[in-house]
Amino acid sequence: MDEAMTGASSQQDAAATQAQPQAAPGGGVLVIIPAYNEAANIARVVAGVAAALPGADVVVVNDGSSDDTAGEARRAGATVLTLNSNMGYGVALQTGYKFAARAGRYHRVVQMDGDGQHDPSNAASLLREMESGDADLVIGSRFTSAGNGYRVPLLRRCGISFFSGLVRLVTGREIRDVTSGLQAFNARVLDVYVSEDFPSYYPDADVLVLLLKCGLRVREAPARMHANGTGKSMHKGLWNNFYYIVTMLLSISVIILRERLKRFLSSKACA
Amino acid sequence: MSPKQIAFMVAVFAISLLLVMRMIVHHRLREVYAVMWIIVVFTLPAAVLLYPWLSSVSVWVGIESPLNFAFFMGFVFLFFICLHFSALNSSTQRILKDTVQRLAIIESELDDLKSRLPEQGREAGAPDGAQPSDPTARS
Repeated sequence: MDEAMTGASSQQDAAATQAQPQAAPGGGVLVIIPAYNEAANIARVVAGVAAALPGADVVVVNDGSSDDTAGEARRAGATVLTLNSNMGYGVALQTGYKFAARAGRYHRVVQMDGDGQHDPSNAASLLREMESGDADLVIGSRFTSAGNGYRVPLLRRCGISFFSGLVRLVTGREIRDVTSGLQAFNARVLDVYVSEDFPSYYPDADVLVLLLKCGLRVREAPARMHANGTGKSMHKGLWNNFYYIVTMLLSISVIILRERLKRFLSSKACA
Repeated sequence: MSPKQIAFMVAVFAISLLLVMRMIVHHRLREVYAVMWIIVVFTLPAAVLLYPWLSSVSVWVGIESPLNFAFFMGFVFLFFICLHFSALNSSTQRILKDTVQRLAIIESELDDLKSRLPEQGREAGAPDGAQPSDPTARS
């Protein structure tokens, strides 16, 4: 079965060489999908990515799932990295980044969620946006004018607006969808993501502050998002939301403090 | 200090010392912490025996009561202990995170290598792509 899949994918590779976004010479594209108990969705997500980006490698980071997420992902043709316990979204993502950095053959990386909310066709458009030249990181945004009208709950939208305002205050840049997990980026961003500075709790607005403070170029592009049918969310419940807000504020404060201290001590803010 | 107070301090000292020694014997304290807690335990009788010295130091730093000075020093000590263990916990968490990530990547690479072994063996001309002594050769 695997051989058949491999054979089919190599035919697809050849056919899709022109369809996929132009990567740097000799470079490939890696799609990182962190997943926790997503056995019901992960095969569909991996298949969607394979169809949208036929030449890309897909790595699913199984964040200590208690269901068969790893098996489903592997059968769908993805490389699976399994964390032996549930380490959290940020640690799972960074495992994928470290895999990409260690492989050394990926010049473009795309990250997307494993619950099927992100439309895989967005990955190709984000990469095309990157190829246009003036961005190190492109965020798939729900709030650009060309968005698909995906409705974010009011409370969450308030939170996103608050952190978007904070990012603007701290960096002077307006980024509307600061919590989007759909991103495409290059090796410069990957260098920051695998460093110790990467905030591995909930990498959202704090990561954008880190990248912008490092002088990296961040852009937004419209992205289609689907409603989450399972009702699962990392930010569900009053306590989780409160904890998220406090931790994010602390994380942003520490990034700014660390950047200023580094600049003061060595006149160099980024590694 | 009254004899009653001294007796109380001696009792606290003896119990603390016994507890620390017991933990050392049963390998429940790392060497570095064992030494630190022994020093802490011996500070208690030292403070009692050197009470006049404690009084003069507290007057010198501007604290009227020697007991307040002792409480203040206890607070400073606990502050540094908490700071030390926060740093240690952060460091341990970072090491754990890096180890778990590294393990996941290496496991994946190992699986990849294992899946390639038969193919490489076939290219090299070995039957079924593996060594005859390999217990996984026919699996």
